[in-house]
Amino acid sequence: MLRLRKTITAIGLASGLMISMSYAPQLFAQTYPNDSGCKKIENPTVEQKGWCVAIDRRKGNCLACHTIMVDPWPEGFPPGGNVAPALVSMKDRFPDPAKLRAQIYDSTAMNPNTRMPPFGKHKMLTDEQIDEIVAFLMTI
Amino acid sequence: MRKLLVTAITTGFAVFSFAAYATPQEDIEAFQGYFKERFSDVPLEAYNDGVNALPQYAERRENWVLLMEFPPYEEQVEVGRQEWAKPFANGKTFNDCAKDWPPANVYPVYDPASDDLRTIVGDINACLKANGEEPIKNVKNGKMARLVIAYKEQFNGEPINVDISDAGAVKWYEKGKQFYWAKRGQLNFSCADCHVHSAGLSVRGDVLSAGLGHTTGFPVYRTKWALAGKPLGTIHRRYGGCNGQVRAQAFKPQGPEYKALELYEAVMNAGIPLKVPSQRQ
Repeated sequence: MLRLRKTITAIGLASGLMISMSYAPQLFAQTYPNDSGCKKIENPTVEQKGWCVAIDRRKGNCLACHTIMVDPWPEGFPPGGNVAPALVSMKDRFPDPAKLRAQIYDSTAMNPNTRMPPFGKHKMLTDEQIDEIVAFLMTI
Repeated sequence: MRKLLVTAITTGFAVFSFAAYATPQEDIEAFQGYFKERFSDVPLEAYNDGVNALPQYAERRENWVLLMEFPPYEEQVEVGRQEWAKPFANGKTFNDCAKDWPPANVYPVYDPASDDLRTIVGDINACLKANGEEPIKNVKNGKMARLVIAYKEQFNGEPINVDISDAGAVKWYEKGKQFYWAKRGQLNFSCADCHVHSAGLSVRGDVLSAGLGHTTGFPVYRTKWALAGKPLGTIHRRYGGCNGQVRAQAFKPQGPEYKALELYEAVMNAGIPLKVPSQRQ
């Protein structure tokens, strides 16, 4: 009886996992290319533009310090660093996009000792690029 | 009344600044203590292996150990030894100068007469000048790096022990400390942001080295530099590269900023054995 219950639980768990896995890609409405893909992408959406600014080493270079959770992850693309928190559930963590934008623009305003560069204040990114990154982060 | 007030304020300031001021010895204890806690399995002596000493680098350490069986810098070291021994036009050699130099593990050395810091690079050029030879202009790589190795390697294993008991030396030390902890460049990073607070963490695929031990292996043979055809570099070459990476204007090698920084880092390394040259990523 116990064995049967165990089997049922296992089947239940496995099918649950399969269902959630098959649904997972749909959580991310868009696909995100790797850095060379970003150069070729035609008619990118604002979110894809934001992702491309985020992963560009000369622009956001967010992956230097953050892991970013997108699914599917671009094939053969190296993962992000672990200096800073992983960028997951951003919409839940920043219900107000303006707060997220302010954090990217100049995180030293919140914490002068932060290790995050003030991307807007030091003109590493344009206002438009920051808006694009925020739009992208709101999808993950 | 006014006099009393002034006294009270001055005393207040005196007490405050005394409390805020840490002696270099306290700084060393705090700095080394931080790393002792962060990487509890790494003994102080091991920090002269740079990032290779950190547990976060363990996966790649084996490769490095294999590389060190036939170190890539051997040939350059040999060239440097010959350059060191080669007589000047007047028949003298570097050894005639170096017999009066302090051991390599106590550099940079404060010179009260000039209120300046002596580096080995500076002493090598002074020696050339004193013997009627041309000083070496490129103090970042090549021949100068080889000559510094030729002097320093004679003291390998000696623990770093820089004397800053002179009040003038403490001024240089404070200048270097300020440089180390101040944010700079478009990226707004201090040396400490990466090499203290983030030591051992990954920036993409690279592991950030610990600030502790930084000067002990220099000049180093760096794989990245080898790919560009100039494998050896002095510590000031590395400082310039680091400043460039945080998008700050690099300072002049052998200028006061980097000499002060070298002093601060060397003071923090008290007790770590010299290991010159070393290999780095």
